[in-house]
Amino acid sequence: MNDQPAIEVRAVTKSFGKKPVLNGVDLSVPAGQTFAFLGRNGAGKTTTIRMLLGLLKPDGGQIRVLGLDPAVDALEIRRRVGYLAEDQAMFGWMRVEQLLSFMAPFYPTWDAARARELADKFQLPMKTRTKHLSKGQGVRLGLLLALAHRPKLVILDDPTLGLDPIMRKEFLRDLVTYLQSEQVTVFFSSHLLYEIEPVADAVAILDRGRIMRQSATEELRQHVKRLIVPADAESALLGLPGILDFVRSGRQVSAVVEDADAALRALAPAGTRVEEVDLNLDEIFEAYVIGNRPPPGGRPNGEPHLEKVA
Amino acid sequence: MKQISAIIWKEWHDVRWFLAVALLLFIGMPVVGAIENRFTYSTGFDFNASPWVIPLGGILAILTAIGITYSDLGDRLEDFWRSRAINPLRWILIKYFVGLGVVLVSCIVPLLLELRIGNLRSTTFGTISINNQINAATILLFTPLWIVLYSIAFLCGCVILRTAHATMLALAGMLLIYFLPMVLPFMNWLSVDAQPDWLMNSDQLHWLLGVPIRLGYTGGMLAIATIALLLSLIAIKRNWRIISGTRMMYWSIGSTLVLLFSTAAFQLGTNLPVLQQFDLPAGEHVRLIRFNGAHGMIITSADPIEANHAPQQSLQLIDLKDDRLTLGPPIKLPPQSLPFGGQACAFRDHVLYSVFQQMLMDKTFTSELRSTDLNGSLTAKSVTVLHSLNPFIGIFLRDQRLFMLTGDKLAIFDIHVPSEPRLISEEKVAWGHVSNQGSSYSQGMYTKFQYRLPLIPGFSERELLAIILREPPYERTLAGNAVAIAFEDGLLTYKLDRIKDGGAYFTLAGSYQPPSLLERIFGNSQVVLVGSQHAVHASQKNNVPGKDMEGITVFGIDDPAHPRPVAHFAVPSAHPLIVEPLPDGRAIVGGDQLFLLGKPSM
Repeated sequence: MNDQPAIEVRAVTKSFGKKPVLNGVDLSVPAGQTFAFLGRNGAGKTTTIRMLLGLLKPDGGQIRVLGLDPAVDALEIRRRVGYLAEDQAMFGWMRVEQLLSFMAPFYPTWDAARARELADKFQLPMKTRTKHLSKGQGVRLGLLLALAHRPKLVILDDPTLGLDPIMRKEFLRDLVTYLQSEQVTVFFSSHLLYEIEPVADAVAILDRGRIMRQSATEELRQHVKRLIVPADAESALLGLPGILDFVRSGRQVSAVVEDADAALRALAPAGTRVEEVDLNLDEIFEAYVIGNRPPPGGRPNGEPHLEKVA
Repeated sequence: MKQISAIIWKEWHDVRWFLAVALLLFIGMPVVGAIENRFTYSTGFDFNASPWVIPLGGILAILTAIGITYSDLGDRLEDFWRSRAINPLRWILIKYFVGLGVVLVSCIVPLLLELRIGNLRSTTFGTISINNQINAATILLFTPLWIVLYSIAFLCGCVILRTAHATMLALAGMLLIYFLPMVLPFMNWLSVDAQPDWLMNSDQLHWLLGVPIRLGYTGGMLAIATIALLLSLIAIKRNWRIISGTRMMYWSIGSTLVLLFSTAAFQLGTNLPVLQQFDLPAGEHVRLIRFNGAHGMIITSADPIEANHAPQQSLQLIDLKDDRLTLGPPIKLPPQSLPFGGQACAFRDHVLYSVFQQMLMDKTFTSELRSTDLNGSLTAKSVTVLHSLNPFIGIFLRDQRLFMLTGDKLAIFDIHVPSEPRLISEEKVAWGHVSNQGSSYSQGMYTKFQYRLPLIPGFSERELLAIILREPPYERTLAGNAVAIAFEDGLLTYKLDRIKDGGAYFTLAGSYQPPSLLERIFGNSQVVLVGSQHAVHASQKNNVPGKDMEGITVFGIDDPAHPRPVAHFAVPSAHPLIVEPLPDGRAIVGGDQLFLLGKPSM
């Protein structure tokens, strides 16, 4: 495994007109990992990915993809990177085999045998025009195109968007089977967290143009937890650092904290009874993105966004 | 498959239907026409593709360019190929040239076929050879235009996101490319329509003479195409896109039309000032104007009441005093006083006029000189002159002498008693247009020509040259050392090399095609007359729907190599305008009305 990060993003900013989209994004994707890039619609995920591929230029900051600058070596990056976009369109009049033949010359590392093998695995009808493929077949064909040149890095931008749940599961099965076994770095952008959770080694949460958190998935699950305390311990709970979400519920109050171990240590001297709840990636993401946070040293403003029961 | 081959294959697939449709239209339809003619008229195989290709080639270029760009430059599909390891500039360049190739093949191959078939064909209608309509010069002229139109449409396709809007803008661009160089004199060299007709002449001399013009035109057009291509590449590289809206389209196309029509309106706005205007009796129009700078006459003619009925003609004396023109009372002339070709002049209280009488069996002509007083009484005496060659009859006065010049005779009359002109001499003279260098393409179109002058005692050679030039059939104007020849589709200027020993020698100096947008859109130009010291006045007939317009264009020929229009005058008239230039640059103009026009600001 290479020590050099597959993707390195430092203080990247980007605005469209007067509207800021990315506001100092920092990101580092280690080589060989499956990296989940999480964010709500409009958070800036696709903008970030387009900059990684050299399709957009950042206003500020630095980007390195496989050690190359996309602003300078966009074509070389695209040769080495496999990319599957959300709801991807292809030349509809081409048959699947024609599309494969057409794309092959642009990739020096194109592996025709692998392409055929993937086509068989994905059960793609080679004689069918791409416009006549089903949604699932289209996504699989996109994946094939992203993999046939044996890329070092695969960037998937919400590839399962529009697929039904069965298709999404099949796609993820293919992804797990054919990507992780190849030690390929996968940069997987999605907002459907439950589908990415089983396969993601690390995650980054992007919200309003900023990276809210980046860490290994397991580490995130270990650290980010919901703590539930009696209502009379609310002030002690609010005094904790790194509260992402705060909810009052009857005689209890609960808070999602960034570092549960540190929080428990801080609450221990007062003898507060604390219930510790593990969160899934979906809940962690929600806490980061729409959590009801108290202002520094104070009480949360207004009512919580979501009334939660611990 | 290599990258370039892959892209060419892909692009070819996108535009092959354009080629198929174009060839079906540009070759198929002429073949159908040729077959029909062959069976209907028993002619040869008249394959005429040019009537299809010339007017529709530009449209094909635009549709092909839009067609080849829109398929790949729309939203998600663009994201697809842009995110692949495809060099976008290489892609667009290949796309451009594949589409251009389709356009040029679609347009040029049918024309080459016409050229080839036309050249192979010997005679079609008896002894009259209807040779190929098209020639290599025409193909050379139109090819750059198609390239430019394709390139501009390609740029629109690359920059404008919506196909319909890109097409509309490209069509607006076509209007500008076609009409703007036509209506703006300084851009005429870029106009496909304003190129001199002799450029189409395929003889070696004209071919060589046309090289600088072709180079300028082709270079200019290719420069525009190259700029459009470069802008397309930059737009693709930088991902420049205009998300057009309806309002933007209205503004763009509206601006184009406003630009074009305001330019045309500018031409009308430069109308010569009307200093005086006289209405004529209903149904009458000016038939002839003669003026010596202070005195003269007009002859008006009424529209015939019925066919073959001699029109009633009237005469009015005119005087110019204190910059004001005054008209005398109308005097009815005897019937058929001034039939076609007749000339007249006023002397004291009489009008003397020539009448072409008849052609005899031996192909000689007879003409008469008649005289009438201001009461309209025909004098009893008329003088008959026999002459041959063309029935040209010019009459001019000097020192109580009237000179009648015919095709091969000079008759001199003593008119000190104007009611009784007396023939005092009649002799054969040889004069006229005697030699040319360079073959002609249209009437009067030579690279060099020479006039032999009729030597008449008391007249200088230069005076005689001016006299014979201004009358039919030449209708040419000597201005300084240049002569301007107005022909039906434009103006040619020749430099007077020398005038010596009864000969005047001229060399082609420049040319001009009437550029008025309205003239081009609405009618055929027909230049009917003459000029003055520094300008040539030419009248053109414009068939504006619903109203007959007559116009005059005044050309500045102080630089004979670059004749240029300096003023216009347009007026509703059912009859061609007659122009009598005055020495100071003003002009008396007659049509359905009579005008005294101010001089053009040169």
